[in-house]
Amino acid sequence: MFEIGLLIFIETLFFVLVYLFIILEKTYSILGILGGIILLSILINKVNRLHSFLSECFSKYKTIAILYGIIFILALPILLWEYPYQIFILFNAGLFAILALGLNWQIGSTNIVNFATGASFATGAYTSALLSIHLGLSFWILLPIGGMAAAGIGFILGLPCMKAKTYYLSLVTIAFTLIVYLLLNNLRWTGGPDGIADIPFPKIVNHSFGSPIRLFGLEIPFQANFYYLAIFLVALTFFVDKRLRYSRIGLAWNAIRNDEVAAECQGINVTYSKVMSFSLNFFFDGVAGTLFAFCMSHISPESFTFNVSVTVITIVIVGGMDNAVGILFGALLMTLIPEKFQVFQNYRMLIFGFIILIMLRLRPKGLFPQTVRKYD
Amino acid sequence: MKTFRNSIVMAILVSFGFLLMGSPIIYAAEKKLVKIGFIGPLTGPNAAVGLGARNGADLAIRQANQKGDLPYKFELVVLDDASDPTTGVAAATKLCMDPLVTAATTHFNSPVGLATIHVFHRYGVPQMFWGGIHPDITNKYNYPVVTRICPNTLVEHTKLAKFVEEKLGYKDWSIIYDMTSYGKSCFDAVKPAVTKAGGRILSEDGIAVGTVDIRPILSKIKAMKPGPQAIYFGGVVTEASLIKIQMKELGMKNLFTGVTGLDSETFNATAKEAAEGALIIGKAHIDESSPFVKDYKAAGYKEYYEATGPYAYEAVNLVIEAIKKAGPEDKKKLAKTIREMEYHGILGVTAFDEFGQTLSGGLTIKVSQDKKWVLWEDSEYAKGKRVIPGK
Amino acid sequence: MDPPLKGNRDMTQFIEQIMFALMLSSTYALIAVGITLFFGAINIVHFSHGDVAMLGAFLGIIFYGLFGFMGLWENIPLWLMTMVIFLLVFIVIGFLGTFFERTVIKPFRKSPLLMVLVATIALGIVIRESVRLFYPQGSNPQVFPKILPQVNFEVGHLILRFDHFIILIISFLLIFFMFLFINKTKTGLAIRAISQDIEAANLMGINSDIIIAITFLIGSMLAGLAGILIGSYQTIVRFDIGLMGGIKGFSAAVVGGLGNFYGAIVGSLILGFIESLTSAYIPGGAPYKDVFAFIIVIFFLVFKPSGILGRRAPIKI
Repeated sequence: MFEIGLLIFIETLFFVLVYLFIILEKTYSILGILGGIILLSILINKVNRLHSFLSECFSKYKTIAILYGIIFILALPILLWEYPYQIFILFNAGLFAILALGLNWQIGSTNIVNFATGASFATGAYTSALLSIHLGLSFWILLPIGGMAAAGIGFILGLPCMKAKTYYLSLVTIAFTLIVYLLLNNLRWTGGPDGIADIPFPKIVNHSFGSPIRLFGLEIPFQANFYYLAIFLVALTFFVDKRLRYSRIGLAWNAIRNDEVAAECQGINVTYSKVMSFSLNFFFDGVAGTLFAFCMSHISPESFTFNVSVTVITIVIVGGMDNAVGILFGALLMTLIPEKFQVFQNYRMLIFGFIILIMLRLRPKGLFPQTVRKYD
Repeated sequence: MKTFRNSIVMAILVSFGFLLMGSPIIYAAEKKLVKIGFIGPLTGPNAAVGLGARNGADLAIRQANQKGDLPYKFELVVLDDASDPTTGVAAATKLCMDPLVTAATTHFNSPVGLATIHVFHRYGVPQMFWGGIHPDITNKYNYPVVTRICPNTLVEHTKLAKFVEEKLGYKDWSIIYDMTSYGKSCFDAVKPAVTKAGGRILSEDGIAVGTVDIRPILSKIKAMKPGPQAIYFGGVVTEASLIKIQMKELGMKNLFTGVTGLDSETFNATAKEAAEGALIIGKAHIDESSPFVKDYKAAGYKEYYEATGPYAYEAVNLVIEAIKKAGPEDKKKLAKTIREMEYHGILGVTAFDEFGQTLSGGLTIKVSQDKKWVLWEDSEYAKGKRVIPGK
Repeated sequence: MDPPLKGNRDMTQFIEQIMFALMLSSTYALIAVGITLFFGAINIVHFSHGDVAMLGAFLGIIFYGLFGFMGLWENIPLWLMTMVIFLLVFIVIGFLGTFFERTVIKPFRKSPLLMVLVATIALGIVIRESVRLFYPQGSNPQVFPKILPQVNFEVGHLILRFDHFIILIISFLLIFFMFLFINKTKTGLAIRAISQDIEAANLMGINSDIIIAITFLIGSMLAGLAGILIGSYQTIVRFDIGLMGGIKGFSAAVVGGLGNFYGAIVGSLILGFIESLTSAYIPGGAPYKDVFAFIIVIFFLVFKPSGILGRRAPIKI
């Protein structure tokens, strides 16, 4: 009983700190919270007894811990009912989480460094936006369509390029991102530099995503609608990731990552697997793109530059390649911290660059090392 | 066990200690606090004009507080849009969420503005544009909260076409434009303006943003028979200066024209001698001896006020004037008051049409003389001492 | 001056376009040669080579300003100062490039290719952002000073620029000297040995570590000079010309055959001509010139990854 109590206590402490971190504005308060969280984590890591104690509790009462976490995530917008801007930031974090999880499959599983996230994100966003404006299709149909459009592009891009070597492939993905940006900026029917405006808010059973949620007499800002949808998609991505990991194709991907030639000898169709991983990644990027377009109501090429790809790569590297939970934390960090430390907004890319360099040198496996596949 | 418990307690205490340090100090102001928002590109490629505008807005707030004749204490809430629509929307949301923010003055880049007008409209917060020339900002949705104190691109180009064709007599144009939102809207506006004034367009060429080598296109224009008398460029000032330099390299003697986007000393600083004889529609002319410039210098801002500073200054002053009339509480009333105002300031008389677009905006005609933009009326070209290219 | 016959005018225009295409190609060639050299020597793709060139351009601007500040421009003839700037940039960027190699590339020599790739890309980001943030007004385009004589001269109806000629000649000389170095000197021989088989070269008594450092030294020196030449030609330099430039240079190297010296030249010519001619002769094509260029690259990558003159790299088992 005591163990459960302690677990809940530690988690609550953590949640409170995170919550405060989200809502506070003053720099030293934020630094204080950050310091608190770091202190706590170091403490837990260093003090071995505490560490083993906690991990034991955690594995014994895993369901309770996870359930509690889920309750917190769901309740967050309610707690943040006076802070719509913060909910919006969390929504952004969710989007990046989806992007990063998708990329994670690619890098973690098949060792392909894909810099085209900006392009796939854009494909989903623009496809759904254009279809919505010109054909009036509903958001819910467009979610998978946006994903499939992006996956289609991924397929077309991936198929011929799979024969090429890693570095050639990376060059292609970078060039592709730049081309897509150029095209979006220059073509008339994509709206050019002005982009596409007036994308309607999605509706679900008469409740428009543009209106606030009325719950227990509280009015929760409309951003929460998107937040919940994003969380749902993140969960879905997570779920798919788990299933894939233990499926045939997941094993194939890992085999390819370890040794491509050996995998080929084992009878794995390397080209097919690689293209699949490409397309799957693009699919989720496209879905995220659609969500983005419908939340912002207005998209322009500026939101889909090479920087997006860099940010997502940073998240994956920091979070740990092939480690889903790490990625989630990474996405949260990378979105929240620049927001809180507005002063650093300008230095964001520079810091990301340094982070990548340092992480690669010190911990090539990421902040949270890859979980060894459990064969039980 | 004891040490570990102690450490946890210590960690918690330390964290909460920091927290307490930062807890908001409750302060009772004698005067009612009224916040006015400012959003502009403080970072990114347009940082220079964004900072100039911010300083202009800041100057207006300072002066209002100094004068102190109203029962309000004004505060400028400055946010960065980095010329990016997503950042702009986030900033706009943040502003609108603050109940003390009564109005905002915004944006240099039209795409950002096109995204944020929906935010301001939904929250009913008056939004006055000090920059951004796209007609759709005011004309497409005609949101009651939106007004624009700088001219839009249609007005600018009509003026340019009229001047070049009627006053200078040049009827044949070649048009080059870049693929920014600004360049595109210039292109869309210059075509009808030129034809309406009776001119002919001989060629149209678009260039990608960041192009540095426009020589192939210029060479093509040079080879046209008959060639154009005027070469118009719609787009950012860097490319404009490169075009002027490369025109000189190729020995081309056509008139080079543009609109207010080129009204920046960067053009002259980059093109140097090659800039001579370029003709543009300029932004409001603020005399060096005017009180605005004097006060601006006295306030000690690090950055130059650029062409945008005066507009932001005027915008804030107009809003304050409206607050004086209608009070800051009812935003809907405030928006209506702003729309109906006739304001006399450094830009002359400002009044808005049915879409919230200003009818004047203080446009001028400028020519580059000795590496500086000089008012046409004051220039040696107008007096006949120098010959304008294109003949 | 009477307007010449239409035929003559077209011809003049055509020659002018060819000139522009040549100039563009030479700017790509300077970068492509470096990239192909690095790849040939140690199988590394140095994605931030373009950014190193950009640093050269910025350094040129800084030195120019510095000399102005020290009042040197009044006293010493232009051509001497120009040569001094060239030399200084040559040396400084050379060592800077080697420094980058030691810190960012060397540690990953034994690691999977993936790491080096991401590392060089991250390095590029760091270089670009540092310039953008720490150079005054870094995010704005910078004017490159006119250090070459700005003189027109006419050949018939053709107006040519003296400084363009100088740029072309210097580029050609640089590439030529590079070629001589690789093929005729002992160090060049060592580089070629390493590119074939690094272990064997080590066994033969070649200190591969030093040779690699020298390779980067040479390559970076070239990049630094490339930066100055590009700055002189384009007048405007920005912190991000390294990204596009690096990608184009890499593309040129790939099209010609990665690892093949002549290939880099051929690839640059192809890319430069396609870009320049599409923007001039295809109506409405100018904004898409980069797209055309990239499509050609992707085409090559897919159907002929070894490039036009390429060498095939067998998969090591």
